[in-house]
Amino acid sequence: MTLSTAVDRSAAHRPPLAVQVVDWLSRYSAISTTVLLLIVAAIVTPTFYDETNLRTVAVQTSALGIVVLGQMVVLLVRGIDMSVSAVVAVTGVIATSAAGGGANIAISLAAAVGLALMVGLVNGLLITWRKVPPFIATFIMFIVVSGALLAYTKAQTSGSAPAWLRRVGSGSIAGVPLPTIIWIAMGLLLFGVLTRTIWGRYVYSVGANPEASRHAGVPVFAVTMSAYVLCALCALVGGLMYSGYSGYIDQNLGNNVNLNSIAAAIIGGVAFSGGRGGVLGAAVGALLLTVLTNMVVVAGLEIYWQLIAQGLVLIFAVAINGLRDRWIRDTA
Amino acid sequence: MTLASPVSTESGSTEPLLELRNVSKAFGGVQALDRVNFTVLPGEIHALVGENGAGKSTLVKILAGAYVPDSGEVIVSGESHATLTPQRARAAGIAVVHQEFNLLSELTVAENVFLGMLPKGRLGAVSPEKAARLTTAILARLGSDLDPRRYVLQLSVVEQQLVEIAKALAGNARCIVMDEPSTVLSPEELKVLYAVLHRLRDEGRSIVYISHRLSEVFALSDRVTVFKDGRFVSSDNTVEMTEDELIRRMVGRPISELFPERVPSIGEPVLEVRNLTVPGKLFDVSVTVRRGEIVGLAGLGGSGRTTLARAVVGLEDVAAGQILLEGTRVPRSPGPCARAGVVMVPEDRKAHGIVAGRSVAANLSLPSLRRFSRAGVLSFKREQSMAARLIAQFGVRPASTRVSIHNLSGGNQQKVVLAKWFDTSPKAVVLDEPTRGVDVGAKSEIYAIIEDLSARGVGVLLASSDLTELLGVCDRIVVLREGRVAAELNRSDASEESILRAAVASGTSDEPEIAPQAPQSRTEKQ
Repeated sequence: MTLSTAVDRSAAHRPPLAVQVVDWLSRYSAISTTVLLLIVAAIVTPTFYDETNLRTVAVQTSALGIVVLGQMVVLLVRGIDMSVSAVVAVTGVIATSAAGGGANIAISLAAAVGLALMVGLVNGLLITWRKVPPFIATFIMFIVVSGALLAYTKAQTSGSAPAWLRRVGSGSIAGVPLPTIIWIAMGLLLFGVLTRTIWGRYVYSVGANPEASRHAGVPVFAVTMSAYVLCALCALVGGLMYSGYSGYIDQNLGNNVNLNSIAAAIIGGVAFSGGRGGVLGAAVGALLLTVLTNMVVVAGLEIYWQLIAQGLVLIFAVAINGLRDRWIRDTA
Repeated sequence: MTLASPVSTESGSTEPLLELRNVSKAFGGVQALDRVNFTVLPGEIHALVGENGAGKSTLVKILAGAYVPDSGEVIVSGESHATLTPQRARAAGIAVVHQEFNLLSELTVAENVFLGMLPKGRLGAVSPEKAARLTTAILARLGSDLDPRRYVLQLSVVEQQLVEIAKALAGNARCIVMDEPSTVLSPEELKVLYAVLHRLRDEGRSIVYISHRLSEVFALSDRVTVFKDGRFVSSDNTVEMTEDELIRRMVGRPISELFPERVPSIGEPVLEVRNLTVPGKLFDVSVTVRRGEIVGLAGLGGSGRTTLARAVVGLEDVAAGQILLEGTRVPRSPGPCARAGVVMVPEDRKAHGIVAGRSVAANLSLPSLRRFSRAGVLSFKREQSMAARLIAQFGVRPASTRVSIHNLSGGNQQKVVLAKWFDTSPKAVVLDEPTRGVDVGAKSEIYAIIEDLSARGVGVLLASSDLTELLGVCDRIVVLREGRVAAELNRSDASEESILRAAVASGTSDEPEIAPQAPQSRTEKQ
């Protein structure tokens, strides 16, 4: 909404060039940075464009992107979910134990879904009913679930993903990796749901002003709960993609997903303060982060550079958003 | 009003302290100020009035140095400034006390007063003792014995306002601009503020006092300037002005038209509150509202008006009693209540009324989304047409469904907050301070909306601290005192005096004013 007023204003009387540049960058910062990176890659690390590498980037982007979809919805209702990486890890373990123990797919999937639902519900209950701050509530869940996982696996999580999952992870339709197709399908669905349904309206409204929403009859608790449940389910699907693609599970699966999913959403223009952001931005954010990480690998730099590069991109994204917020406030 | 103001009418020859000449400022296509002139003399309290959108806030921000005028000049003590920066404004002796205070609640009074210029002691280190001493001296000039070592977060609203004023004095301000200082104050606190402002004037400083309440203009100011639609209308000595004339200049219509003609047709009880108890706040309160009836809810601050309004739609923990809508118990949260047919418009528009950042259409449709959707999927077309219809019906300006609601003026925001419930076809409506912080023009429109509701057979419960409003609109007035029903007055028996008598505990000698009313202050002037 703030976007449209910015447009109206600039149409009526042109703001200074610097302001226009900041506004343009903030709206398209993720996209423009990604394009820039892709150009840099072509010059500096041409191997980035090898077919196998492109496929890797696509699958990694998709797995992260799916988790980001859920994280975005949580951020939209003024929350944050620090438990997604635990859900990703649990999903991997359940998938492998099914392969090892010979349990059938339906049962192991049901177990994973049940666990994700439980994590989401407990997160939501702690936050709505017990009024625990979202960061703390979900971080507690992260600790509990990771701990349970360690106890269950005796810290020796390793094994192969079942064949069906590897097929999902490595399969393609018309040259497009299956995880990417699943990501795009989920993204389109969520886009439609957020923009065209009552629930979507409620999500944005609760994020923009929970108290006013409650006074207007919005079921704030239910909406908040549903956001955390949805986020856990997205993390579950993301976890399946991660483990199916890598083909094996180790205890590091999902390690960086917490911060990466939040970073991707923020880079994509989702506001930490809730109520602002969308699927397209979140998707581009996931792409940008993954491309960046991959380029560091392809360029043969040490892995630690990834973190530095990610940090710099985050600073850039947050700075641009901050500048734009301030400008809008000053001219309002 | 006991604070009759000495008037400095003979000061025609004095050089103005502050003068705005042909100042214009536009935002996009909106001309917020159009070649306005405004002159403040030394040692006067100068009231600035006008509807929302008249340009008062823009003027304040120009004086504060926050906005640069497109054209015109600001002259302070004979020195012309084409552009005032916040620093230059301060150096020139202008201080602005905003409606929302700029205080650091974790710091002490003295630290706030001398923020950024803490006095230094020996060795160049800041000296809290010296700051405290100087602050005590400044506060004494204001007639206050507030302890400078207290933390701001422990202070009441009026004490915080004192700190703001002390801050201005510490910076040696000669002209203090007060932007709607009274909206946050109780009547008792208002008296304190008036006394402080009179002292400042007697020191030779000037006050620009911006207010929505005309009674204050007459009680306090020496001169009054009217703005309308970004233009200067008039400046007069307050004693030569009448309230009717002031309103006519602000809105272009006389006060008699403020309240709509009312021919009530009252039916069966629709909303019944029976023996309601909310621990610590309400005790055994019973109120009945009939179809087509407007029932006023009066009482001092803290008497339980807001608690009752909130309790009706399930926002308070009720310990005992019942709330019935057409004989059936109402649900215990706002959404189901709205579907059952009872809605509440909250007192705090910013925090509870509007969803800032969202469009007017999204705000209007929020309570009734189900009506524009099938299986949870929205129809934008139906939503937009509903929003456009409500905007036209309620006279929301600008008449756009897409504009962000926080870009609207307070009055127009309030119209949206009221309008959003109309499509839910309520049977009973509870309004908590529906015209607070709203200009005269929007007020009369809101009264017309309330009247229209009752004409359609809706029962209205109107909680308000504005006695003029209650007397002008209501068929019956229930007075609360300390969480209990103190009196129930019919329209014919109700007067400002009878309401006040019921609102304050019997035997109290000093009579607090709920909302000092205009006609009174006028008679005192004569």
